[in-house]
Amino acid sequence: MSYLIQRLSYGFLVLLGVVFLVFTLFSLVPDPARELAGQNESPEVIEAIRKKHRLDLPYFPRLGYFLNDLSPISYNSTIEGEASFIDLNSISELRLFEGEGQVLILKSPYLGRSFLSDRSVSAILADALPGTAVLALAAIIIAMLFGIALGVLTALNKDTWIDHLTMVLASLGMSGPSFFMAILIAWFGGTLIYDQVLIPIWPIVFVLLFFGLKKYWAGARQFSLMKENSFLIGLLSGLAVWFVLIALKVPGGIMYLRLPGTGLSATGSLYEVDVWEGKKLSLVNLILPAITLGIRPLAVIIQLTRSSLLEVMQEDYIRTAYAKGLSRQQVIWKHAIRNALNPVITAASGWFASMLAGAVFVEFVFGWKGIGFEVFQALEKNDLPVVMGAVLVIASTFVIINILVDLIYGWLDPRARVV
Amino acid sequence: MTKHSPILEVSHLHISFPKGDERIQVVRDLSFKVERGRTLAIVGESGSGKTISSLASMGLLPKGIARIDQGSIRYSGLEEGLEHLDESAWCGLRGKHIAMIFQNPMSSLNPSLRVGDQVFEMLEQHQQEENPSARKKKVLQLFEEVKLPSPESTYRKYPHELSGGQKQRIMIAMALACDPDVIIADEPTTALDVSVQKSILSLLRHLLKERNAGMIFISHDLDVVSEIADDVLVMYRGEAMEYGLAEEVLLRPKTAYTKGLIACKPPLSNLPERLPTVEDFIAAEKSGEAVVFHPQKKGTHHHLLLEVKGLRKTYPTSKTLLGKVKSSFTAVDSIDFSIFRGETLGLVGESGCGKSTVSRLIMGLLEADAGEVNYEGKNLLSASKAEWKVLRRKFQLIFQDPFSALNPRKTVGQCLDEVMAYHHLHGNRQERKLHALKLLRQVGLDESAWDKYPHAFSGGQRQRIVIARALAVEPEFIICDESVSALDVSVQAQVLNLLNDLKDQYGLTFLFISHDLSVVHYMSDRICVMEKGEIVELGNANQVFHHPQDPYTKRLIASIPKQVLH
Repeated sequence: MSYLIQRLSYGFLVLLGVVFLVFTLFSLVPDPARELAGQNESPEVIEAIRKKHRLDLPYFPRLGYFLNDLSPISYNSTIEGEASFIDLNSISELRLFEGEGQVLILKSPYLGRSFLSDRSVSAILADALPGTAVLALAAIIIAMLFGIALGVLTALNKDTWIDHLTMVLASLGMSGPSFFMAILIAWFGGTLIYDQVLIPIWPIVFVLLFFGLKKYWAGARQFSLMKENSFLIGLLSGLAVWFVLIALKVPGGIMYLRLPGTGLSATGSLYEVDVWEGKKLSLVNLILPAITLGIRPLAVIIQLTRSSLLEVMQEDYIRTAYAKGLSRQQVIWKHAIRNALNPVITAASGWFASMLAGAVFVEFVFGWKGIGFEVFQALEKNDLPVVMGAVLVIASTFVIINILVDLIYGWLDPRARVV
Repeated sequence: MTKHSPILEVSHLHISFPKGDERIQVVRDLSFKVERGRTLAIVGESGSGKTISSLASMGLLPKGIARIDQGSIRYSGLEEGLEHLDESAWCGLRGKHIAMIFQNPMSSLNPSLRVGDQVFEMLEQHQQEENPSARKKKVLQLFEEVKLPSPESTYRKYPHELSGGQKQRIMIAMALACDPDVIIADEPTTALDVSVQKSILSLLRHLLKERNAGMIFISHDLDVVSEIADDVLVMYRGEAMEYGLAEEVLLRPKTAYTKGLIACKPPLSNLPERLPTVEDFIAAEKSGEAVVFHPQKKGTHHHLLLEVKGLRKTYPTSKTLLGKVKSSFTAVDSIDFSIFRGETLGLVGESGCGKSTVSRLIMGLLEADAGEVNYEGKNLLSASKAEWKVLRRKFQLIFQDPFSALNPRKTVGQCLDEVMAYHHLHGNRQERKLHALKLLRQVGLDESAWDKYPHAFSGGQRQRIVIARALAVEPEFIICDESVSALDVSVQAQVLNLLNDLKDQYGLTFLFISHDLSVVHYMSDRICVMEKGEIVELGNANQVFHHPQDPYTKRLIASIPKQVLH
């Protein structure tokens, strides 16, 4: 329990640091009052805007009032126009003490209003949060499910073509820059194979052929090169035949296997606004951005699962399990997997928080309405309250998830129990 | 030997490992029998093939690597030879008919499963008892039999919550769960303290007699073997050197190797000046002369070198929110002792008694909570960094594990040169090299070792390199922290002899820390016994060893396996 309190207080310090940092960075850029005034450039209007958003105050008082707003217990003025003014109609509060034009209140952290739209930041974030949360959750689920499955598969088939192929793809997935991957997947999934998927038939035929020959050659001593690389040789020779037939313009040379297309659009959000039906949930839009966001953790999880499982299989207690008379399958599923997955699940849960941050790019490319989308827009306009609110939400998620991860790890590994 | 029919019979077994394109034979023409109610001990040093041959009888040889080239392994309950068995047949046999107890109980239990469930799994796998509740009852009954405290609560514990001895009892309960005919115990007590070892051995003996099962007991320790074995098989480099009744082999050994192996362990009384080694016996056999022993003389020394006063070290076990220590564990509790110039002070105790903490406190590698360590009148604990740099040269530490004590990326030469250069000793690079080569010769290594990497050496050779490194800075005082515990007995004898030679030659003073009482007795002029962070007895080596005063020391000495007579 004291451990939990300790972690929470560290988390609090981290959040305070984040507030300080973002606030300082924004105090360095020119204030957005002029831009907000639009075409009405009279000095009075600009001055009024500056006063309204406390942009007229020096750095330290401004920070002080901001922290006062954030704090659950705050001392505010009810007179409009004063620096510590808070609109009591726009928040739900518990008045602890009331004076003349002044109140001491208990409230949830107040994030202010957007410079740009004058909407409450809490409302903006509340609208955007589900989109991002669903996206991050879908991405991490994709990464965990496929990552663990593929990781176990490669470890059990170590040094076969399954292993090699998966590891090559995994390192590609890990090294591709995220903006590039996002654009690539949007184009590929949303445009190229939108209507139908055409798969050239020759490589498939040759791969199957070589697999057949592999069985046929099983007893023979020669053809060892062919036997070991039958998949690769089949694929390459099939592709070669395909190109030759195209080049020679042989009728029927271009034979395709026609599969139905994805029908996915390259952009879209969790809720689509339809002219006739209004707002409706469209989960289909989730697929492409979730894959994009999940591809890097997927690659890492594959490698982590593989190396962790291979390491565990060398442990003494695995030998003990064999000595009990357990079969290989039983040893793997009852003794190896759980111990191998401890570090994987811990690491993956930790990434969930960074998925929120990674979502900024993906949301931008796919036009997905979420926190990242809002931050992007707000950054363009120097809209401090929105940026600050979004950063705080993401940072708090980090802190909370990291605490949860410790608890999960303790649950998985009895040696590491802390609370 | 006896008329009983064997339950397990290995005949003319050959096993090989690949090395490059060739295969090297790790077991050659090995034959032995295991009979009901009898224990066969396979004795040998590391690399002798004793573990490999037992793994072969379990079908647990590393797949695709080790291969049985010739010979047969027959189990009495089965028509077919075990060497032809397929994996699914092995699954029915392992655990149920042939069970194994492994060397290291710390790592041989699955850390994320409750120990009770791990034993339960054994019963479930082989469909013993009718239903889960009967199986659970059986597990509790087994826990009772192996004398685990409160079986009910132990059932629900995880391995890390149990001590090493308790974990080994769990392993024994697991092995015995299905009443197997043969039990293979691979160094089951090597990782345990002597007093725990004694109780585990007597437990094993008792349970085997009760069940009338046969056992293969693998060990490198002849004293342990003499306590438990009916028959003994001595292996050396993959071959059987000697095989017969325990009394025959141990009391009247025929081969020089066995004679050497028996003699090279420090005896309990009539200590020799130098320990005889296996090589001595092999050389003696060739020349036809007998190996001569000179009796050892323990010295007394008067010039005070190091004085420890009220030394204390605690580790916090829980802290308050603000980092204030709520409760703590006392590793070293206000101890006093002194070391005189030219002597060897032995420090013994079981694991966790604080003996390694003492060595680290003296070396300044840990910060003490209270007390003084005076070296020639100077308090080390208040010494500055600059003073320590000078002192470090006079103090050297030789660690337990020679495999991790050397940087694998540095050659032996770089290793030795580095320390001399740091302390600006022995002139320029050329002169340093000459000195290092001299040291290598002195510790019994070839000069060609200079530009080799540590992985090219065996454990014993590495320990010699570590010793050479310690000597390179011309120290006065050397702490040997379990320096020979990881070595085979024959190598241990060589290293102990080397340490004594160097001590005479350089006038060194040793603090010799070990859990092995007979080694400490052989090495030391005085012995200091530690228990739970406190010194319970301190006195002349022979006095402490033969006439212990403290009950703990008495218990410790009583648990040493009674030795094979010379």
